[in-house]
This record gives sequence, structure tokens and C-alpha cells, in this order.
Amino acid sequence: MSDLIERLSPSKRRKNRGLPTFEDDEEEQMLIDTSFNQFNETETTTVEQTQTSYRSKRRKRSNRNSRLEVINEQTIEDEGDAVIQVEQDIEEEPYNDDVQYKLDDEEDEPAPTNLQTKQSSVKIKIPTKTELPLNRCVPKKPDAKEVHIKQTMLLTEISNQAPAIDGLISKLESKKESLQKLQPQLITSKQDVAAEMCVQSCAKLTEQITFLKEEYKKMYRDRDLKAEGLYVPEEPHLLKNKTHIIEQRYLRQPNSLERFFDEDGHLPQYLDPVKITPTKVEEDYLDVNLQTDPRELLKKTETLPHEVTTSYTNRMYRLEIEIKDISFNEHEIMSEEEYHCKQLVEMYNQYQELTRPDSLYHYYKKRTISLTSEMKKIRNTLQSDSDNQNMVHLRLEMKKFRSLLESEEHKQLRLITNIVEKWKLVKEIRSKNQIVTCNVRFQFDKIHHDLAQEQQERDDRIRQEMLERYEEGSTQQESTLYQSILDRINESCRQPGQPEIKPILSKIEITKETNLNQKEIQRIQSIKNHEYYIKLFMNGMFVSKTLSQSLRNTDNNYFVVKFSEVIPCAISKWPDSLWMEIWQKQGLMDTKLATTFIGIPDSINDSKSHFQQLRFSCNHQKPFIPLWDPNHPDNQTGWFSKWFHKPNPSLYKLNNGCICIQLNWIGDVPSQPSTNNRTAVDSHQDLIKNMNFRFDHHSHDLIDPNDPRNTGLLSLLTRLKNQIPPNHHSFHLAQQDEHLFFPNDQFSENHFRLHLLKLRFETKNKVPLQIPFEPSIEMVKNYESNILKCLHDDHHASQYVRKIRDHFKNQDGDSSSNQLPQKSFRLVRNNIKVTQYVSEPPMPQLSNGDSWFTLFFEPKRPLRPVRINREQSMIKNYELIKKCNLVIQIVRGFHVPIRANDENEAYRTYRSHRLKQVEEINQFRRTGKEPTIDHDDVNEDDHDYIKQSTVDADNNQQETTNHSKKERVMSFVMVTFNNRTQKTKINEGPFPQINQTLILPFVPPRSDFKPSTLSQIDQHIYFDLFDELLIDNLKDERDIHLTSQRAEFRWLGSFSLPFETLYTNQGQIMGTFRVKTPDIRLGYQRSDQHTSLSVCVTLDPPLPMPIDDDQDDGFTTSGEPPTVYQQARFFVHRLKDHKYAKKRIVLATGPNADGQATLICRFICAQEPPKDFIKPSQVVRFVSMIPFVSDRMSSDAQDRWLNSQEFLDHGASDWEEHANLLCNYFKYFGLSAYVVVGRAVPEGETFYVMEISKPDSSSTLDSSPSSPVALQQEVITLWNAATGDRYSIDDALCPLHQVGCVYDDTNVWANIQKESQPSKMRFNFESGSDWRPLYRRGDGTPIDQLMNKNKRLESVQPSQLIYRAIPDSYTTKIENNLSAQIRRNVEQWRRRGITIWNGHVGSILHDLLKKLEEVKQNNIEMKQQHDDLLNEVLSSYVVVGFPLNYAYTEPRPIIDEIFNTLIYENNEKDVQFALAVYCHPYVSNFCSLWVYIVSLVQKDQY
Amino acid sequence: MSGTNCFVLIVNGNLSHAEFPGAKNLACSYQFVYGSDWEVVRVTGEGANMETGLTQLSERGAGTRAIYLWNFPLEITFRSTNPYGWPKLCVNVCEGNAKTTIKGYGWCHVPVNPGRHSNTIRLFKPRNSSIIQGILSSITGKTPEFINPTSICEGEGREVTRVQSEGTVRVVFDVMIKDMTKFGFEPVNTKHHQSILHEDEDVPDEIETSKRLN
Repeated sequence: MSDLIERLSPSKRRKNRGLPTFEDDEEEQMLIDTSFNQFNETETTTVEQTQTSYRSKRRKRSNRNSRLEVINEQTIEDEGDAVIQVEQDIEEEPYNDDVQYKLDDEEDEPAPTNLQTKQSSVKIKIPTKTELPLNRCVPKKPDAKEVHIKQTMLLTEISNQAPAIDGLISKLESKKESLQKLQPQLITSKQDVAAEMCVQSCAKLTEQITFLKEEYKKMYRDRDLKAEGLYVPEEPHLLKNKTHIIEQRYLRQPNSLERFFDEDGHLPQYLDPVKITPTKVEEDYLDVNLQTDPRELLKKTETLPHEVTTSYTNRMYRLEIEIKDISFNEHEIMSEEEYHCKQLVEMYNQYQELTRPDSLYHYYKKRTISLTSEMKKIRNTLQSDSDNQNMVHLRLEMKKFRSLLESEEHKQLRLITNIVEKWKLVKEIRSKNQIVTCNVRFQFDKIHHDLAQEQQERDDRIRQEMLERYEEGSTQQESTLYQSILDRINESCRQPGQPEIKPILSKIEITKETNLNQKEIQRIQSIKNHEYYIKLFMNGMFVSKTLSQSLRNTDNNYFVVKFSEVIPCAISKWPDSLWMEIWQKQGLMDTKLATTFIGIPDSINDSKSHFQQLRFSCNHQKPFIPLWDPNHPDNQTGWFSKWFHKPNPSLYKLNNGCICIQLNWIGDVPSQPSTNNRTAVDSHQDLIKNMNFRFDHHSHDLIDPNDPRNTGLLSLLTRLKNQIPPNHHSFHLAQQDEHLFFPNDQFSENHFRLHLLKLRFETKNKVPLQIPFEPSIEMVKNYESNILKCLHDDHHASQYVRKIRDHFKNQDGDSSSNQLPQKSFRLVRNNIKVTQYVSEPPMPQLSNGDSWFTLFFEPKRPLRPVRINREQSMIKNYELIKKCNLVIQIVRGFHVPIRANDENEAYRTYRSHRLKQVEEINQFRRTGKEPTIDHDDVNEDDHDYIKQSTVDADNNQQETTNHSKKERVMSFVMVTFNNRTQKTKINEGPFPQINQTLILPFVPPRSDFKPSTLSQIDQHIYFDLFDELLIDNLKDERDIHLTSQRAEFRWLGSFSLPFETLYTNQGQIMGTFRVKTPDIRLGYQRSDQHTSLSVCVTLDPPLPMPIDDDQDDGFTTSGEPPTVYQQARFFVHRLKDHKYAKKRIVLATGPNADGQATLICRFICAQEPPKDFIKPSQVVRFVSMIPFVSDRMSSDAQDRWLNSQEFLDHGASDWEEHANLLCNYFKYFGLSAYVVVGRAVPEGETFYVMEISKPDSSSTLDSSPSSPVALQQEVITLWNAATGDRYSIDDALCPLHQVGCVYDDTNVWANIQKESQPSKMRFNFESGSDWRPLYRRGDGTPIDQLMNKNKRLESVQPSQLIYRAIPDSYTTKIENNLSAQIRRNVEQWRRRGITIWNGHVGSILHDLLKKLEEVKQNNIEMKQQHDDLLNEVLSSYVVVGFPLNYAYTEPRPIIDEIFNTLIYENNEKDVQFALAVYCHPYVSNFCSLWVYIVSLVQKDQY
Repeated sequence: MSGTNCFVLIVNGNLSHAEFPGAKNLACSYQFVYGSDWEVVRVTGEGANMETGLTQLSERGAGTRAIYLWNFPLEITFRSTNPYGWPKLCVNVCEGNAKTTIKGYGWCHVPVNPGRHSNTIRLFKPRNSSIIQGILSSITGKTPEFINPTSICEGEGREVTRVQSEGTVRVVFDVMIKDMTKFGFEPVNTKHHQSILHEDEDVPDEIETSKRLN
């Protein structure tokens, strides 16, 4: 049985280790024996252990047989089934001790799995196995396989027995118990023999059990590795029955023992590899170590564990920081006495320190004495060189110690004198204050010494030194040397003969509180109110804070905060930094006073009393003035000095003091990081170096070589130790890049794409081309050459680039300072903004005040667009402008002509209605049923249709649409600029609300946004107003089911806006414009009101304006006497400062044709019009027919004022010439006329003529119907001289909206009224509060110089204007020429169909035009005449058209305008056109040009 | 020649569903992002081959789990010669109310191993850069969005963004790879991989809910 037990473990063990088994027992035995003999001789202690165990086994083996016998006897006697069973099993066992002594030594044989561990550990501690002779027992196995099988079988059985043996033992025990119970029964039943037998067997059994147990323990679980000093990791806990179940399960598997069990027959339990190591140090773990010194431990402070790393070892080092106290050297509430006593006590402590028997002073003293004696000795026996050498050394040492000693003595002396002085000061203070707040008292002992003796000593000392000096080779005279040494010693030491003073600290009674004054009591109480605490930080992290303690005074120590706390820290490595912060408790907010850094001790302190004194200064606090200082505000007398006295800043002091702390490592001290490697980034080289370092450091005690978890580390360390140097290039990945990218060379050669990719890779993405999947060979070649070129270029990369590259390379190599690339890198990164990647609704603009917030609450009114005022053009650099748009907003229209109650329309509706009826009748005829419609209606004569249809149409329209027919007009506006057209939507009614924004691109010539070129652009923005007429195109009754409509655009009027005015108006024109309507619009009601459009035109973005020269000083020369010129300038300048007038246009001078400044009044004088003109209206007509050309456009873009003759000769000019001329004509007719200077839309700066007619004057202009005037009032009319338009002064839609000044031939008046709108102004020039004149007559102003004899200003105008007549041939030529051009163009525009020109109608129209010109000149109504003339045409045709009138300059604008009217857009089949051109000659090449163009559609076709 | 000039990656699968707390309805748009050396194989005939797509708007179902089911098929075939720029699936999820608001972005690689894979894409979305903008966006419903939704597939510029995590999207891929070994790349043993992946797959929600009900 024991065999069995014995066999279990070793055999199994060997089996599991995969070692060969021995077949031949004897041989093996022999081998073992021999090996053992050698063993005994050579073994070290460790091996001896195993040896002993071996011996014990041997013993067991010899006893085996006897033991078995015992068991046998026992079992037979007791007839125990189980025992018998076991016995049988044992006897069945064919093998006995075949393998059992395969020696325990083997256990140390490394297992193949963890070979490295063992090796390495062995090297450190255990003698290597290689030395052991056991290695010789190499088996020679003939048939390993067979044995193997046998072995396995056996082992399976044995393992099955293991629980059986356990069971056997328990059974035996139970048997024993039952026997023991049986015994008393037997005794009672008087069966003595049986009882005795029972007792005997019982004893035997117990013996047996104990033996069995022992054996079982020894053999079956014979090893306690832990006890042997090996590392055994803690096994995870598993319930016993669970283990058993698992074991049983495994045992059923084939080869279970080998596979699942370890050599001990245990199921191996492995540590959980993913088990999380606890990162928080448990409380009890710390507790154990906190009990190191119970005396010191007052409180345990809660600690945050500091920086726990999950390193391979979760070992924690423990640092204890004991904070004893803070003692303030200076504090703001310290009294003077306390302050000095504090210093006194401190000095006394220092003195005590110095005079301690183990102090440095004594040490130095002793040392010097011994040195002297030594020297003396050598001196006496001075023989050899070595002695000489020694002497030199000794002398040096002597010198050193002597100076040290003297400095110590000096220190002492100074200290004592200081103490004495301080004490005197304290006494003084006490007597002054007559109170004692500190219980410090000093007494001084005087110790008298013998003078002679001391002198002798001193002398000896000097002599000694002198001797040394001479030995050194000093050549000084004896006396001088003596004196110099004496002086030095006297300085540092007490004079001989003087008594030695020894301070003794004692106590004195403090003045009782009753005797103190109120202030002092308060102060003392306030001391207690100061509370402080300390925060501890490690590696920048908060660790702990102490309890807050109050300030107190203790015996001999004042202003102390006692903590006496121990803060334990657990830390896994050497802390980087450690500091304390001193905080003062102040109500709710605590304030930080100071920060002190703490040095960390690098070894374990032995002495407990080793406290560090760390000085600190409360630099986080405000400096204070000491209470006792006369400068302290409390000590100031008088409220003034108390509050306003500012003491010298040097008097300010900071709280300061000492912290008394002690740092202790409990247990081990972590290794200090090497300072060199701390900051630099570890390269792998550094890492290895570090490793080596660590290995050296840790090898002694930190790494447990037996811990299997350290296996990797240890093997690495050993390898590192052996293998030096490491491969430098092994970490570079770049060399392998290619292999990562491409399969292999062979493959890529045959594969075009891979080949190309490879090439691309070589160029490092310099050719970022997309490579197709099936590239042609050509492409490959192409690409190759491309790449080669690229590489070539790269080779010749600019020096600069290479320089930079090299620079960075060098920087990289230098690991310590690669800040520059890092910095640049950071810079680059910093430029990234979130907005590049994330779009987010923008932050509301807080800078705009409250507006953003109110946005939420504003009512939303999409129908009321708010115009946003735009900032003036900020773009000064025109080169930045890439494109520009014209933004045209058309707001609304006024007085759009309404369609007349159109006969044509009525006819059309009637006809379609009738056609429908016809169709219905036809249908009924076919079906044979009676139609419900009245037949009379159908048979009615066609000629009656007009009457009928009007009624019908009325009904019809009222039924279908509820529009009032009268006001029917469907207007839209078309805007044309630069051959681009945009249309608004169609709006109904005479007052359409259009509210539409049109955008037209604006491209200046050559896309040049230079201001100079922009101001030269001669283009117009045309606004054309149309009426869209939908005409039912039904012509055949059979088409009744078809809906066919034709849109016809009827031109109602237009106006144009020169781009130049828009540009000069700073890119913005806004206002209501009168639409230039033809005098006759066929088919429309004539209204008295002028049609107008409200329009806003802007440029987006605003274009830069030409840089204005200063206009006032623009004149180079003055045509006037200097005084006049000065006055004019002064006049203008003064008005610039006027409240109202400063922004208005005020002129006094204008440049004449030569650019000389000329008084504007001088341009006005009565001038005779051409002979034919006898009425003012004719004059107006004539002037408006003089072409208009802006000064900017003509010649040198300078404003010029021409006199009338120059104007007529020139043939065209702008506002001021027109106005002046008209005004002059008016003057000729004796009207009171003025020229108004102001601003108007769209013209901008402009000149109007104002005519004031007195109510009684008979020679006024014809009263126009548009201005009904009461007779009693004076009538003021404004004339736009360039267009001939007249405006009543009351007209709100008058384009002139700002009047700057008014002038005539006598004076200039500047408008200084509040209002500048003409309709709101007063025109009484005598009123000084409304108008400011340039000069007052007769007051001797310089302008009088210009007066002629008649007391009128001399005029620049010629007295007589010369007019030239125009020959008839000229007009006919123009007529023919223009009509031919228009015809040609119209034919061109009408791309489809033939354009038929009706000559007959054309001649009628020509006559009409002649009439119209007359009408124009005389300003009379002619509608009726016109209709009469056209009646013939209108009866047979539907006529659509209009007459146009121009001041003739050239055909182009006329043709453009006709193009814009869209008159040609009539796609009726048989449309005809009629054209008439009439040129009415005035004088001097000026003629009024009329064009009448109509489209004619026969009524039958309509 | 034609057989060996590239390897082919065939991806079938579906955008299964999203788990998203705090949304009413969700739709998901996806886009495959791949490197310049890759190409989508366009096969004429049947079968959608879509690089991008938008799912239906899915309302939240009954029950406590916020699951939005799409079951939107993904079918696409790529080819390339080198695996750089391996295709990624970029997903963004939006909620469609009166106006569409982006609820989350996410991406994942197309699995490199053949077989069935079910990936959970965790979503995130950019945060408001200030509190006021946060309040405003909650009023106006204009949340911050990535300008380029596929920029989340790249590392560039991510460091400046601040995001918050949102729900998840579950995508199932069935990946087939052809000819990859010829180019020197060995796909991982499929058997081994599959066994792991099957564990990863979700328990169908119906079962879970029924369990809970019982």
C-alpha cells in the first residue's frame, strides 16, 4: 500500500515532465546509488535538503514489507470489506517500486516549458543543475512506447486509488471508533477475551491510521514548496466538492493524468491572466504599516493613493510625512516684544546647538589638538620622504580645521553678543510698554578664566601656526607674522582674560490680563482666531490635507501652529515632486499663503528626531506693516494720516516662518530616477540602457527570481546582459515598407499596375495620378518617363528646400533640442479651425447691442421688406472686385395707364362667344334636338355687335372674374441693361405693387473696375413698362375645344437711367421716377397724372469711387477779382458749417470753358431766343431738344460751364447749360426766373429752372391742367430744362428733392431752411432766416466791383446769340436714313414671317407727327384731332403703337428704345407695320425727331 | 491576365438597425469611402451597386428599446491591387421632422476577412461650441454638422472638433474576397473567425421582449 502511495508522485512527476522512464529497475537503482554517493560529497546545502528527503524515502522502502504485513493481519481480523478490496488491489499490482526512486533531485530539473526561468533563477541563487552528476543517467530505452502505455495504465489506476486511500483511512477510523464503542459493551457483557481483543485491535488500528496518515502525507503530498522557500502563487479558491467533481470528470478522459494533472496529482490552477490588479490600495493594507510608531501617531489622515501604476509588480513604497508644526517668525499681529523674544529664543537654540558636546565646535577642537600632537610626533622623528609627505598632508588638514574652528568660535561669539543685545532691547520694550507678554527671560553667567593660562594657550596656538607657516616656506618676519595671526584670532575669539558669557533661559511672569489695555487683549484673542492647515501635493496631485489648527503661544515658542500629523503615502515609484501649501482659514474662503517644496530623503532615517526646518514666506499674501511700527495705520494719530498715510514700501513685511516636518520611508526606498534620462524621450537604446540600470538596481532584492511572473523580465535582462550591443536597425520599419506594399518582385514585374504603383511609391506621392486597372503599355511608358522626370526634378530641388530639410534632419538627430520642428508643427496644427470641419449656426453678434435678442420677439412681416442700409464702399482696391451686379428693386408703379374701354376687345369677346354658340347649334342640329339658346341672338346682324357685345362682355366678365373692367391693366416692368433683360411678374391695376428684385450682371469693358474707366461707361439702364394683353386666338368655330391665347405686349412707357449717374451717386439710386410716356397711346385712357415707378437701384458690391479732388480749390485760376473770389469761397465755406445747409449743394462760382472760376450769376442775362419762338413753351421745347451730354462724358471729364453761345456751338452739354439757357430765355420774356441748384433723382446734382409768376402778371405761361392754381397766389413752376418736363412746386413726385441754392443774374441765395424739399420750402428771398444771399446790395461788398453802370452784374454771355438755320435737305436726309434703319432692324428682330410695311398708314402717321410737334410746342391737347385723323385706319385695323420723340443725336439710342418696346413682337399671321419718321428742324442743327411705329392687324383676322 | 490583375472584394449586407435613445424617427445615409487605388466594379444587370444611399425613415417601434429598423441592403463590389485605402462605410443618421437634423456620424471598415460580420458603429456628433449656441440651436433646430460627412473617416482636423456620443448603428456585412492570396495577402482563417463572430451577434429583440413579457 505504501508502495502505491510512494509511487504516486515521483512517477507521475517524471511522466509529466516528459522524461524517459526507466525500464530496468536494477540498472536505474544502481545509477541512482552511484549518483548519490557523489552527491553526498559535492552538494551544497540546498541539495542536502533533497538528500535528506531521499534518505527518508529509502527508510520507508525498507520498512515497506513489514508494514504491509501489519495491514494484512489487521484487515483479516476485522473483516473490513473496503480494506480487503484495497489489499486485493495492492496485490494485483504487478509493479512495486519500479520508478519510485527516480530521485527527488529531478524535481529541480528544469521543465522544458519554463526552462528560461529556471536557468536564470538558478544563476542567481541555486547551484546549477549542470554540475550535478545526475545528468549522466541517460537512459537507454529499447521500447519506450510499450513502457509508456504500461505506465499510463498504471498511473490511471493509481490516481483512481487516491480517493480510495483517503476513503480507507476514514473507514479505518470509523472502524476504530466502532471498536472503541464495542469495548465497553463487551466488558459489560463479560466477554473479557473479546474485549481485550478489541482493545488490542483498536490500538493496532490507531497505530495503523497514524502511520498511514503520515505516510500519505509524506508521499502523496510530500512537498510544501512554500516551506522550501520557493515562490508559490496563491491559488484561486475553489470549493472542495467542485474540485472533486472536476477531477472525476477529467479522469474519465483518456490520458487524463498526463493531460490534466500536474505532478502532484493536483489539477493545476492558474492565475487569472486578465485579473485586474487593484489600483486602489486598501485601507487595511496601509494600516499595518501605520503602526510603526504609535507614540508619534496622533491622527490618521485619509489619503488618496498616489499614482498607482499597473507595473509588473504592484509593490508600493510607503512614505510617511510627519508634519509637526509651523512656527511664524513674523506675523502681522505679532507684538514687538513677541517678535524679538521669538528671535531671542531662536538664537538661544542656535547657541545651544553650537555648544552641545557633540557639536562641530568640539569636533574641530579635538581634531586640531590631535593633529598638533601628530605633527609634533612626526616632527620629532622626521626622517624619510614619506614623513615629509605626511607632514604636508597634515599641514593642509590643520589649516582647514583651524579656519573651521575659528569660524565656529566666531559664530559663537557673535551669537552671544547678539543675544545680549537683543535681550537688552526686549528689556527696553518691556519697560516702555510696562507689560510683559512673553515669559522669556535671560540670565547671563560669567565664567572667569585665568588670564595667564589663556594667554599661554593663545600664544601656543600662534606659535604652532607660525611654525607651520615657516615649514611651508614663509619668509615673513616673526613679529609681523605673529601680529597678523593674533589679529585674526582676536577678531574671531574671546579676548583672553575676558569672562565667558553664558546665557541661561528662564521664565518670567506674564502680565495679567486685567492689567493689559484693551488693544492688547484684543490682539491676544485674535491670535487664536488664526487657523491654518496644510495641503500636501505629490506629483502635482492633491494627496491630503491636515486638520486646521489655530495659532498659539506656547512656552518659549510663539506663534506656532501645531499639527503633529502623519500623512502616509503609498507610491509605486520615486515621486517627481512633493510640495506643501499652507492655507489660512478665513471664513468661507480660504487663502493660500505659501508653497514650499520638500526634498525627499533618499534613504531610511534612523533617528526619529530628524526634523527638517523648511522656511517659507507667505508670498501669496498682501504684505503688512508690523503693529509696533510707527507707520502702522493704527499707530497713526489723526484720521487724515490714518487713511492717507502711505508708508515706505520697504517697511512692508511678509509673514514668514518655518515648517517642521519629517519624511520617512517605511520599508524600502524606491530607486531614484536617473536625472539624465528623465526628460528625454526614451529611444530604444535608452530603454535598453535603462533596463540595464534597472537590472543592476533591482537585482538585489526587488525582483523575485522565483516568481514565475518575472520570467519574461528576467530572461530579457539576462539576454540584455549577454547580448551587447543591440541591433541598431532592428527598429526601423522603413526598410520593410516595400514588402508591405507589394507582394514580391517577381509578381510586380509582370503586373503593370503593381509596377506603376511601385514607381509611384518610389516618387513618394509626387505624382498623385490615378492608376487605371488595366493600363496599356504606352501608359506605363508614359508614366515611367513622368516619374523619372519627377525624380530628376527632385534631385535638383531648390537649395532652400534642401537646406530646411537638412536642418530638420539634424534637429531630429539631436534628441535634446528638437523644439523647433515641434514648434513649427504646432504652429501648423494651430491654424486648423473648427469651422473648417464643422458648420454651425453662427454666434449671434453681441456687439450689435440688444438687437439680436429682440430678433426673437419681432413680428415677422415677410410682406414688408426692410431695406438694409449699406455701408459706403469699403473696397478701395478695385483689383479685388471680380464681378458686380446691378440690383434693381422695383417697388411699385403709379398711375399706370388703363386700357380704354376697348372696342377691339369687346369685339373679340363677342366673337368667341358667338363662335361657341354656333358650335352648339351645329351639335344640336346633328342630334336633332332644339337648342335652348335664343335663335334671334344668332341671326342678329354682325353690325350690331358693338352694342350687344359691350353688354355681353360686361356680363361675361362680371360672371367669370369679378374684376372691374374699367381699370384693367396687366403691367410688368422690363429692365434692360447691357443687352440683358429681366422682367417682373405681371401685376394688375393702375397702382401695381411689384416688390420685386431683379439682378443684372454688370461687366465693365475689359472687366476693368478702375474708377476712371467706370466713369466713362455710357450705358443706360432702361425701364420699360408693358401691359400684357391676352388675346383669344380662336378663329375657327371647330376649334372650340382648343384654348389658344396669344400674349401681346403693349408698351406703355419707359425711362432710362444712365449708368454714370448711378455710379456717381455712390452706387445707389432710389426714388420715384416719372415714366416717359408717349403722347398718344392707342387703346389706353389718357390720364392727367404722370405714370411713375418707384425704383431702387444699387450696385453690389459697391464700386470704388474716383478719388475726388477738392472741389473748392479745383480752380487753377480765377476769372474774378481776388476779393470776389475770396468772398465766394467764404460764402461756400461758411455754409459748410451751417446746421441745415452743410450737406446741400451750394455754389457761388463755376468753372468757365477755360476752367477759370466764374461767379455763376454772371451766366444769367436775358437772351433772345430764335425768331420763330414767341411763346415760353416753345422755348422750353427748344431747349429740351438740345441734346444732353454729361460733362464727364465729353472731353476731359471736367465740369465746365459754357456760355450760351458756346453751348449752342458745342451742340450738347449738361444740366447747368440747359438751365442757364432756359432761364435766359425766360428772362427775355420778362418772367422772373431763377436757376435752382440741388439734387434730384436720378440726375444727382442738377440744375432746374424756377419760374415764379405773380398772380397779377398777365404774361404767365399757359396754365396747364396739371397745376390748377388759385389766382391770388403766386405760382412757382420748376422746369427741367434738359427734358422739358415741368413740375408744379407742390408736386410730391418732383424729382428735385433737395434745393441747395438759387441764383439769378443778381445774386446767389443759399437755402438755410430746415426743409430742402421744394414743396415744403418758402421762396421769399428777402427773408434772411430762410435764404442767405451771397452779398447784400449796396453794402460795399467786393462783388460791387463787378457791377456795371446799370448796377447789374457784368455777364459772361454774349449780348446776341447767333443761330444758324437748318437746310431742309438735312432733315429729309435724317428722316430717310432713320426710317430705313428702323425698318431694317425691325425686320431683323422679327425672325419669322415677312414684315409688311403699310405705306398708306405710314403717310397718315407722318401727318400726325407734324401735328404732334405743333401740339408739343404750344402745349395743347390734341387727342380728338388725332383720333379723327386715325379713324379711317382704326375702323379696319387693330392699331397698336405710339409716337416717340427725341432730341436727335444719332440713330442708335432711338433704335435701342424701339427694340425695348417690343412692338415688333406680334405674331399674328397677317400683321402689318407702319412707320413714320418726322424730323422737325429748329436752329443750329437741333431738331426734334418723331418716330411713329404701329402694328396693324386686320379686324377680320383679329 | 484578366483573372489576376486585381483582387475583388464583394460586400453584401445590410444596414440593420439603430439603437438611439431620444429620437422620434431616424433615417440613415451611408457612403462607401475608399482609397484612390480602389475601384467600384460596376456590373450591368441586376443587383444594386450603390456607393451611397439613404434608407427609409424609420419610426420608433413599440417597446422600451429605442430601435429603428431599416434592413437596408448594401451591395457593392470593389477591386484593387493593394489594400491601402481599404473601403470604409461612413454612416450618418438623421432625424426627419419638419427639417432634417443630423443625429450622429460614424464609420467602420469593411471587414477584411471573408465571412459574416456584424459591426456596431458607435455614433457621435459635433457639439455646440458655446452654451449660447447650444440654446439657439435647441430653439432653431440647427445643430452643428460636419461640413464634409466623410471627413470623419480621416484623421485630419479631428483634433479640433468636440463631439458627444450618440447611439449605435448595427451593420451586417457578408464579405467575399477573391484572388487576394495571389497578391500576397492572406485573409484570416475564416472558421476561427466566424465562431467568434457568431457569439457577438445580437439576440433578436423579439425574443428578449417576449421573455420580459412572460
